Amino acid sequence: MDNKEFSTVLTRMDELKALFSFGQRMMPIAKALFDFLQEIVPLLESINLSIQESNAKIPTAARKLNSVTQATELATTEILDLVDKIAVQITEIKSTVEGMRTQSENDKFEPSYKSIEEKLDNIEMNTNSIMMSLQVQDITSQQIAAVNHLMESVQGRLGSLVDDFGKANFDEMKGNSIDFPTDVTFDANAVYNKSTERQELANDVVSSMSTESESSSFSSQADIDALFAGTK
Amino acid sequence: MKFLVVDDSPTMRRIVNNSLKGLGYTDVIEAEDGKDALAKIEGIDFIITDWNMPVMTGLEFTKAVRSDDKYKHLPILMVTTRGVKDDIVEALQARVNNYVVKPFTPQVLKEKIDTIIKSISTQ
Repeated sequence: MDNKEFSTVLTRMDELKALFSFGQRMMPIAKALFDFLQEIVPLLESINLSIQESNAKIPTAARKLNSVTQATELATTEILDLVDKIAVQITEIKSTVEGMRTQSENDKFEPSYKSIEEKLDNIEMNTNSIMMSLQVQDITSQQIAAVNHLMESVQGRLGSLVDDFGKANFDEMKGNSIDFPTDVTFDANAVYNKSTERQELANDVVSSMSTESESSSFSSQADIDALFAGTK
Repeated sequence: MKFLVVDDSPTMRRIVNNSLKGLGYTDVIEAEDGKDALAKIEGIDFIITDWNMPVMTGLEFTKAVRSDDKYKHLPILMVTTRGVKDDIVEALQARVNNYVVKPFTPQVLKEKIDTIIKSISTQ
């Protein structure tokens, strides 16, 4: 071995030493990384499991919501049946009172007849109010349909997320998907609000568009918007 | 006057039907969506329709009626939960005669029916 070769060996040994030195410095980092992975993998699996469990619960929630709609529909029908029966009974009582009035030759009962008729009118008005209030069933069923639609979207997103993790059997989850009725349409903004504000808006739009068709002065959505903004 | 009440909700059909009877209109038939309504439209004088329905919406139904020479003159009153301006404009552009927002009162229903009948009789 000549001097040149010996020098090369020494250089290589220095490089090796530097490598070992780098390795020693890297060891704690590698260990920390290893520890981190040991902690994060179970955490990821736990998240994955959590998502799968949450996703599996969505169909049950959807079924329960659908059963709420069915129950309120049934209850509303029962109430409407009773309202109809009361209406028939009111008509019968009114007819009876009228019969008593015509048969009676004594006017002293007239105030009583009138009082009975007034009370019957009040009962009729109240039963009408009950019937009109039952519109809430249609409105809440649309709100429930909107929530179910939202849950369907969430289930789809969660399913994709689990699929991305690559651990879950997404086909199984698909088998557990929500049996959403495909023929349901709804107004996601349906509200049970007895304020006349929305009907007044409708009246204004109808009125302005009637004017439009009569005068042909408004011809576009922009024209209608301008009308409501007070610029036309 | 023969009415056709179109709504997918049996509750709403019954409420509208009862309200009409309270107003003296006893000749009423019902349909559960636009397609069903088109099948029952023969002999009808006045249509009251919901917007959100499966199979065929109230808006699609209105457009179908308006594009049919035989029935395009029929008065259509839309009764719906949709109460924002854009929806109301869209319905009127589809040529419904008037618009009622749910929940409605019998007074509003009467007022709109009377307005439509009056406007038709003056044409």
